Amino acid sequence: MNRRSRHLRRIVPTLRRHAFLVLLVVFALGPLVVMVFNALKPISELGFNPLGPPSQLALSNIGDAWARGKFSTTLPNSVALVLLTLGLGVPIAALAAFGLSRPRIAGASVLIVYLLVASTIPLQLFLVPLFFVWSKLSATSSLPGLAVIYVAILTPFAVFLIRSYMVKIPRDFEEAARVDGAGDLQVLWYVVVPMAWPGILAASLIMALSVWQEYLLATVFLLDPDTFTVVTSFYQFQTQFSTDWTLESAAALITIVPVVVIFLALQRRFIGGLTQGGLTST
Amino acid sequence: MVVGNASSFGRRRLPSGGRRRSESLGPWRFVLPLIVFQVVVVLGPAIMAVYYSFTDWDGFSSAPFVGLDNYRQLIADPDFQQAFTHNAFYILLMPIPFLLALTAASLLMRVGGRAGMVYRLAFFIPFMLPSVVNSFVWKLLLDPTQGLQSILPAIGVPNPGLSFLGDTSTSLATVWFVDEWHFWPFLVVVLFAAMQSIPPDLYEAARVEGASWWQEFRFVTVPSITSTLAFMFIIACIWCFLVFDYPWVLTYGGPAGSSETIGTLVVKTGILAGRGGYGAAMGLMMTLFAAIPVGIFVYLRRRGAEI
Repeated sequence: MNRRSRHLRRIVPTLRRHAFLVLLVVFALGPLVVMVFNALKPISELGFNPLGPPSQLALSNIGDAWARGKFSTTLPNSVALVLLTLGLGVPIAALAAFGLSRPRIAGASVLIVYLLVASTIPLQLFLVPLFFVWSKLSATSSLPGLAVIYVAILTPFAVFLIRSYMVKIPRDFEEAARVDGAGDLQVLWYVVVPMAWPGILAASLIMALSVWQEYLLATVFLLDPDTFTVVTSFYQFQTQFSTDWTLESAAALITIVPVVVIFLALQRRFIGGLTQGGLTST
Repeated sequence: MVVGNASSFGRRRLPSGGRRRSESLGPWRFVLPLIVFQVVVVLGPAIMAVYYSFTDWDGFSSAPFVGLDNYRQLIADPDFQQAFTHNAFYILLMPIPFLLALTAASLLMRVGGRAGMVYRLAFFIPFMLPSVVNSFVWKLLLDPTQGLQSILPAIGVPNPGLSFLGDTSTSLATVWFVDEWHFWPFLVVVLFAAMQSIPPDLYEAARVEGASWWQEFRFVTVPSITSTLAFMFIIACIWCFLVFDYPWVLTYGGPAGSSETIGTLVVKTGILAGRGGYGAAMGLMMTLFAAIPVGIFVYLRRRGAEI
């Protein structure tokens, strides 16, 4: 067997693998690429070129979609929801993870089982009474009102994720701090939090993403258009301008750009957090 | 019991009489805020749901007790039955995203380095995008006049003009397809992470024995990740009962309920139609269904299955 054919025998399977993976990438991203194309093409071009790249750029679509999609209201709403949820949820999850990472807490196993159940339970189990309680408290159409729900729903997962980092911290660090007279909260703040930081960051990112893309609760609880999030308002926009694909595509593009940018910048922590959260709860 | 364990916290501290009251709660005081939120948002309303499911509650006024009426009505409700079969459809077709993800993940294992990472990132993007955007993109592609079908005339085939989302016979399958299109990348990433922890010498041994790609996959890869596979399968089964976003946004459960799921039906009945008691009963049933896969999993594990 000569060297050339041996080389071929190695390279052909590699090419086949790449070909298949590229096909899958086209499957995953192709539809989104079409959307980006349409966001940038004049409406007059859509009729004869519905899928291809634009022959001339129509950047005015973006400005139009921004104004008519009311992004100047919905974008701050979504950001506020994320910040409120993180501001409350991350400290609550970190404190609970700290409490549950201590050895031998009476009843901890009950709570852990509860959190496991709570992180997979259907929202519909408690949705109906929750909605009417929130109505009675005038907490519907309120961003803080919705953020409270997000905190409760997203913290169980975050506790598992953060805890999995905290249990790995060697006890000696904590003991040393205690010898120096540190109290529980000081140990948490100066020793445990810095060492569990990757976990806290990953949990925050996943929480932020979940809030940003959440639809069911946002659509049920935010009734006043002034409180719509980017996502719920996009749905309204889409039903309103259902004939103008270019305008809608531009609105879709505005909706996803912040997420994609943040995701690509921090993808390691995102993916690490998601897979680890999935695996450690076994 | 809590006090006795508090010592594990303040072990090195001298016992002082002036301990603050909050500290007598021991480590539980760190968990307290979490518990408060759980009680207010999840646990309290869940208990209310159980109670109201036995009443004819409209969400606002009094709730006359009706016993098991809601449940009796639910079992005979054709809308509910139809929605249930649609959730079951999701479960039946679950092997498809799993097989696709297994194949993709095992291919990724053989493409290391930068290229592998680029592939993984590309796969992952649909999973993190909002459902309304993903749905919109597919509405666009599936549109009878301006979507993928419209390029057929360019290659000499007349546009069939099929409305996949608007036809009762295809709406559910289409909603399922878009939903899985967004979900399977998540499986790829999780299965890939599990595969990376397989010791490389297992593969080397297989190669020394002259194993083919299929044999490696069948006898090394799959057996090494069964626990992750089983876990993800359970999670995916639960999610099959939670389906909401894609049918809601793509078809609003229609046409004529042909893509309705229990998840969308609960919101329509319990909240939009104001039938609080009936909706609560439906939500409870949905939770019971979602618990069945978990029950089977636990049962199999008890029986000694290695999953």
